[in-house]
Amino acid sequence: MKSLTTFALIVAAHMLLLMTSISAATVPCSSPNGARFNLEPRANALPQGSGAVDFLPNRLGAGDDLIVEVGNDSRSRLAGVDGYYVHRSSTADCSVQFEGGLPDFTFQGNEVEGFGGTTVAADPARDAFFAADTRLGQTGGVGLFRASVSTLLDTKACPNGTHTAVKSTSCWTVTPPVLLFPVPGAFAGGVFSIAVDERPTSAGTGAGDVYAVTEIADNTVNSVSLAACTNTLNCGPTIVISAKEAFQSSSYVRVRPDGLITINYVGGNASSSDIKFVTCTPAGAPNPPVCTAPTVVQKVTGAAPNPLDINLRPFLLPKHAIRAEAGGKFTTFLVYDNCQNTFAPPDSNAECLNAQVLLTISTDNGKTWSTPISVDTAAGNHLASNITTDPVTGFTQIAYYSSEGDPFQHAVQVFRNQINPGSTALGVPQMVTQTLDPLDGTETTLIPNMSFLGAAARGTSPGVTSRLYVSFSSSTVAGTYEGFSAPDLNNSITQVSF
Amino acid sequence: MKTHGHVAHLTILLFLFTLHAAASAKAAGSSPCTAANGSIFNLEPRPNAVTQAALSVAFLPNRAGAGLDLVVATATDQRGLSNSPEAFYVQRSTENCVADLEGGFPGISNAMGLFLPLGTPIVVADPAHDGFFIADLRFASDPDLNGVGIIKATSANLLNATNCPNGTQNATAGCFTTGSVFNITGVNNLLVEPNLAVDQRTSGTGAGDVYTVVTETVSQHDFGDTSISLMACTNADLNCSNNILISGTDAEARLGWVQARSDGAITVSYVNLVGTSEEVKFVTCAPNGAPNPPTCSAPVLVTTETTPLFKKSIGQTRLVDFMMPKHAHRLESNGTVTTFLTYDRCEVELLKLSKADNGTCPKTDVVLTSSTDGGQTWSPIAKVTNSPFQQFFSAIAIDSSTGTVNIAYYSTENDVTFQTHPQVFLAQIAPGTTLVGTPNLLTSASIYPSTTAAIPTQLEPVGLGDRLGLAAAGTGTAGQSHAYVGFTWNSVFGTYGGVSLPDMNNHLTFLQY
Repeated sequence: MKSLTTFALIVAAHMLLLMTSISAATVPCSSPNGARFNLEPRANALPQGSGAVDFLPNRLGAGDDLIVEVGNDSRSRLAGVDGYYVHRSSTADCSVQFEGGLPDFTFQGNEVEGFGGTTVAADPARDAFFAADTRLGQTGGVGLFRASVSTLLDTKACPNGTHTAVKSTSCWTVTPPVLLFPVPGAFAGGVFSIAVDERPTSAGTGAGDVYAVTEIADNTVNSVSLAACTNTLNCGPTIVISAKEAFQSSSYVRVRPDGLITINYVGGNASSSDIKFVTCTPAGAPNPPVCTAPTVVQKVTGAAPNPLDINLRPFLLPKHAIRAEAGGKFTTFLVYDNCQNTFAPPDSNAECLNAQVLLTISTDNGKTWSTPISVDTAAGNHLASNITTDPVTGFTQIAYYSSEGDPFQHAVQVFRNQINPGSTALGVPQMVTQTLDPLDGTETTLIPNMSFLGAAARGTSPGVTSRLYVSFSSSTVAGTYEGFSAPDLNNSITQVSF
Repeated sequence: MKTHGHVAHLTILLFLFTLHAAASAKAAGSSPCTAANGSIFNLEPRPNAVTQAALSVAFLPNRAGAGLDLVVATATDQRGLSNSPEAFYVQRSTENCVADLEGGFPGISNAMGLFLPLGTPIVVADPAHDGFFIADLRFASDPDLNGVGIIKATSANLLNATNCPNGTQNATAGCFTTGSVFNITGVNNLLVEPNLAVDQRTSGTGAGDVYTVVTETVSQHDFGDTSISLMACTNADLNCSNNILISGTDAEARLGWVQARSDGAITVSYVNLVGTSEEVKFVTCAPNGAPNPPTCSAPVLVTTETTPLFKKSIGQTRLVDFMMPKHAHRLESNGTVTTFLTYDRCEVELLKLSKADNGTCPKTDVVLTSSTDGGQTWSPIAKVTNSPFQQFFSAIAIDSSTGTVNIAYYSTENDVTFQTHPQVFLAQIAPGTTLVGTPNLLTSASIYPSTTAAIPTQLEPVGLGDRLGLAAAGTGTAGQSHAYVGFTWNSVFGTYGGVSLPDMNNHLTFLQY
């Protein structure tokens, strides 16, 4: 009897160890709610909001991608209010090995500090990642960082765990960061974007160059500007690419597979807003590109996004992706959030009752655009759209939040819609995360901007399965507060194979 | 992580199953009052609907017919019926928790001007005199004055379709027999949070008298100094006493709640903020026959809560709570009286995760204490339920026909993942005991409570407002009592420019026991 009890205990202990081992070793990327993508302890956990994600496929091994996600992070212990989160383990999952805030650095003798809006771009050809964030100091601007993969995989330069300022400095300043678009005092630019010319270095003028674009609005300047940097961050003068509109916002840059730089932004005046599109020919950084005059993609109609739901903001941040076609042609897909139904209550401002994601397409390099169509026609809010094209296979993926499963039109799931190579037809909307998430975080004064989904699609060769990563905010993983479990907002990630 | 995901899914499935099972059980009942979402209790058309938030409910059992209760509820109503932000709603034709008529309250004129409704109408039933009384805040211009309005409606009037027609009424004076404004002050002494009670006795000093309490704020101290005053009025013609201060030297006394005991004593509970603590206080007054004011004892300290709940967030719900003590008296078979007092409290320290954080309570409880010596001493504070997550907006009412104590509250206990979806519960204390039974789930459905009104209005309450209405009565026969709960709910959507969106409404449900 005693031996039987002992045996049972041993079996139970082995099972417990096995379960512990499994749960500690693997963080599945494709679980129903994705995976929390930070290392924050659960006690008194603070909110994180997702910003962007990019990855290098199979860089860590077969099926094991090197993933860098960035976002807003409320933890004061990080170097800034922005965070980076990196998966680099030899286990092909979505575990995070290290995280931190992009470090402070000096510009003209004065320190500039990170202040959110972080974004990231991978550079497969040169085995590196670029990250950028808003910087504050005596001079503000956009901070641009480069980290080689060898550095990101170096456990001395980038040790496991949550980075202090010293560790984030060693991890992200091997190539000295630069301050782009410097303006006196607080940087008033809103959303900015970066992109890398991913062509092999010898492929032509501009190959490997890094581009950043933002709107600048201080007392004297009001424009969308573009900066070109070498891959090692030797940056040239910025150039204005907008057309002297009364205001500009929401600039977004991509690099076409042939090296052409493409930018969309929103420009307008008090009565209307236009989504505009600019193409620029690379001149080889630090020389600035040569750009065309903006063309109008769409006139934006409907209410200003004055959200009914504080969490769901139909934010006008158009994004585009470009697919190379046979014969040296290109198809440009552009998505944006739009107010589907505007409502003007008596004596009140017009409100947006529900948001939709619209897609428009150009096959003539942005000169003309198709009539926008809704990416998802189900009732509810569809928003925070992002678009990415796998340069290897030509699949285009559109990711967005949808509240279509929630009668209260508040809780959301991540959805995607796929456009197949050679086609411009939208597919059927597909649910990516399963749980309707109210995105109500721990504490309302710290709620990060949740209007962004990050999306990156990459493959290794035609005919081989590619992967899409979507970074998003989620409150499905709880924190603990005074001993009680409660939902906590976290930057999260999910993976889809296609 | 994989295990966690499976657990999360399992809990969600269990939650949905629970809702489905509960909905099925409710569906088996016959009354729309017990539907999954109760019943919307207003007549507002759905296009461009605006917010209603429940405040109070009262009823006279079987008064509209056999098995048909005459029910009156009040709410904040942003339609501006009768140019006021408040309204009343009456069920009188069918026992279905559907309003037959609704309207704003009429203005009340006196020598100082026309006093229009300003908000917070509270209704109580007066079975002994076959009617209802409503107290609310009133405002007059030139000069700017505010006061407490009291309106009386006889059951006969409320049942008279000529005087008080069906539908949405803007001219409702015919529904009421008497109305007066008292406690009139300048606006440097703002009045808030009126409450009232009626002495149900038919004989003895004070029998039938109507008592109101109100919180008075003083502008010289940014309205931070507050006190509670009490007034006694005759039942028949609302001839009222001067208001008397009953909160003694308490500098921040708020949220008075008045009851009349079966022996005619008047009792008032309120909260007093002292530094970072909140005190629950209790006052007992002897009636002197209105319009003479009662004679009141000094406030007795019931308990002190060191985690102030005032305007603090309720967990993840994005709702805010107040400590709002309420009490009820039960006459025991031996002639003694047991007083039950309930309020919301934060069980642990408040979270303040940033400098801007006003404070979040990670675990809000509904708690209960009782006294068998007229409020001189009180039992240890105990939770009404050990359910997880958030319980809030507690209300208490005695069914004097059976001696059953009813305690209603919202709870998020069945939303195991996000803890944001409340349901309405009703706990009961059986006659002769002080033990709380297993709470009853009244709304098998749940809602997301923090939706934004499509049509914002200036005086619109946030979320679910700040309270539930509760009234209980019966014939004394088992199965013939009702506990009505007036609550705020957004399961019935409005339509805005052709789009259907959540809209907050006052709802009504009941438990039959």
